[in-house]
Amino acid sequence: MKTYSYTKNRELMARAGKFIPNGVYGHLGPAEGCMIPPSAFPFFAERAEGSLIWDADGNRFIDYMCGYGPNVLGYCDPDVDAAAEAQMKKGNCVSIPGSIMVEFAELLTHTVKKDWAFFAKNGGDVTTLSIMASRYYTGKKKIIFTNGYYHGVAPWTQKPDSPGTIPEDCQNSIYIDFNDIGQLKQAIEEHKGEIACFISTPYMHGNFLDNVLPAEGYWQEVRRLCTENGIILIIDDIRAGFRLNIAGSDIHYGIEADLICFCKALANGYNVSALCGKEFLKSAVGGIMYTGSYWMSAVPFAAGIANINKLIANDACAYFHKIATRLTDGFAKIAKERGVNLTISGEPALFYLMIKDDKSLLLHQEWIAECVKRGVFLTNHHNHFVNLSLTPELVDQTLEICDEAMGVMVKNNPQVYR
Amino acid sequence: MPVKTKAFVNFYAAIGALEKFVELDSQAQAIASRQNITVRFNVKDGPDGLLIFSDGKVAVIPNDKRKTDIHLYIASPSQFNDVVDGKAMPLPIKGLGKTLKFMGNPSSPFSVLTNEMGAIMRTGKRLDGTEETELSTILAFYAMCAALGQVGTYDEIGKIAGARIPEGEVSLEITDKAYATLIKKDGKLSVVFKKSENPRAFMIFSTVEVAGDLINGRIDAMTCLSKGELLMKGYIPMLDNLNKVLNIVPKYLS
Repeated sequence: MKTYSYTKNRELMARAGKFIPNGVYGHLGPAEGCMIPPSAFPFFAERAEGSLIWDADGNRFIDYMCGYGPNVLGYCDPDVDAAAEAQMKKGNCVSIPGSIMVEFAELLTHTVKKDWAFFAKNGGDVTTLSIMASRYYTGKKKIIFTNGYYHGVAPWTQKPDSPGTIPEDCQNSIYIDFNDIGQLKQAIEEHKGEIACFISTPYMHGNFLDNVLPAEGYWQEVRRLCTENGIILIIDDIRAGFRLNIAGSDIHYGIEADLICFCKALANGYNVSALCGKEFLKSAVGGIMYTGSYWMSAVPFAAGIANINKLIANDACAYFHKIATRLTDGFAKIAKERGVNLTISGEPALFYLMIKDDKSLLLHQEWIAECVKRGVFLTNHHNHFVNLSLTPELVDQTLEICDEAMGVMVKNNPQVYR
Repeated sequence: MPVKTKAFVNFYAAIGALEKFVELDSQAQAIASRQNITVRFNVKDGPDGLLIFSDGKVAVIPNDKRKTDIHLYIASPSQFNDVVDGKAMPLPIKGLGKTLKFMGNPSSPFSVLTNEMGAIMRTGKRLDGTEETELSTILAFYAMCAALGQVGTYDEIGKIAGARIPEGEVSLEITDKAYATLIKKDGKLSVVFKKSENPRAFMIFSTVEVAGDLINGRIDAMTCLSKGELLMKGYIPMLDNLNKVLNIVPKYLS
């Protein structure tokens, strides 16, 4: 199979680097450990459709990053784009909100079984609001995090050694391990009366580790401890939301969060995020001056309505589980046949891959690079995503490519795979 | 700037670079080969280490209680930093005559070596004006690597990142030119000036020019990454945290 070259991608990056910090900054760029080696990866897309992207050189990829989550129906979904286009003709960013905001709030709160919705743009907007609301409501300062978390890039989410962060930003942070009720009890005991909230993703989908599902009864015990101790329970469902359960991942795991944050899969790529919550926190959120220039733009609301309706109509979460299981079962089979110790963890719809035949992860990086160079867009150290447009045929193509790529990696490392 | 961290960087990175200067430069080696001496730099609340000249080689290591020819006591990290900057003389509590001979005036071997190395590292030229661009970059690379271990151990912010570097070795390389290894073992950081035999992660500069441009801030790391001139691979959590320490290093080496 022919491998790709990236001449135009590199030319564009050279131009980008002159005018944009890092050329491509943040998680979509080559500096964050998801593209190793960068030489194997495209940097710029030319177009996208369904589960496919074409880069600046015209290379075609079956994409398992889905824009790092937003692509939940398929790129350029005709129904969502039609709804957005229709709203665009009526008005988007106007001096007063479009009436469609009310319709979106009604649909969303009904879907995720919460009492209210507050709209913003990015995940970090609403995780930050969830912390502010918790502190305002409880009058307490401290936040409990689970190690390996990611809740955005605001200073309160960082560690003191992160560039741009100061130690005071982190002085009210408490860190415990996911699934460890003993540590949670200890933290509550040691900081009695000081804890505003417990924030966590519904399961541990961090990087560089096997993703960890909640242990039996874990969330129920967390819920009980939070309620008994006046701690606001926040689920950060930005990554997993609408991929496990249309009602939200708190419902998926059998509890009700006090606050839940949505973003990525909310509007199939149109920019809107939402904090949803229980009635008792509504006035606290209303009491915080928190807003932005584009937060009430109408087009993403129209897209969000079309997106949620299509997810419901197609029983999308069941499909994600089914199609992703076809893929991950295929990965497991390939790896077994080639004698590679590949671990597949997390929920199938957000599967996480890691070859564990060396402590450096170089073998894993080499395999992923060979996949990408042949047209399957995976990243080294991040969970992946599937979307509703992914077909069994594309999955089978993917497996064929990834099998060949694994064969190349195995052949290149005879010292490991004798 | 925290003077204690600066003192550790001065000893292990600035003076420590003598190891490589003597190895790579024939004139320096000629001077070093005439010395056979062990000097203890004993800084109160700072580094307590040995500078060893033996068999034409130099080593800079923590004090391992071996017999020394010269014992220099320095009352504070701040005073030691002044010594390194040539603004003060240390107090020898052992080996006064040897101290005067070894480092007592501008023509003493230690003074000649450090002055020449300093000029090369600062300007890319010898004191006589001869160009030494490549040697300058390679010495700066080794000083940067050595400083990583100290800043990741003693700097208030650096030690937070240093503590989060997972156990194992990071290979720091200028392809075919220079190798150092950052080691995290039993929670402690150290750096050795040799190629890692069992690296868990890599930071590789493709050429001396790229390393020089990056170290001196003439180009940015991201540009180099996307061009493939800087390669980072392996267990990325090691490099993520190493990079946070690396961000702080220049303020101690400038």
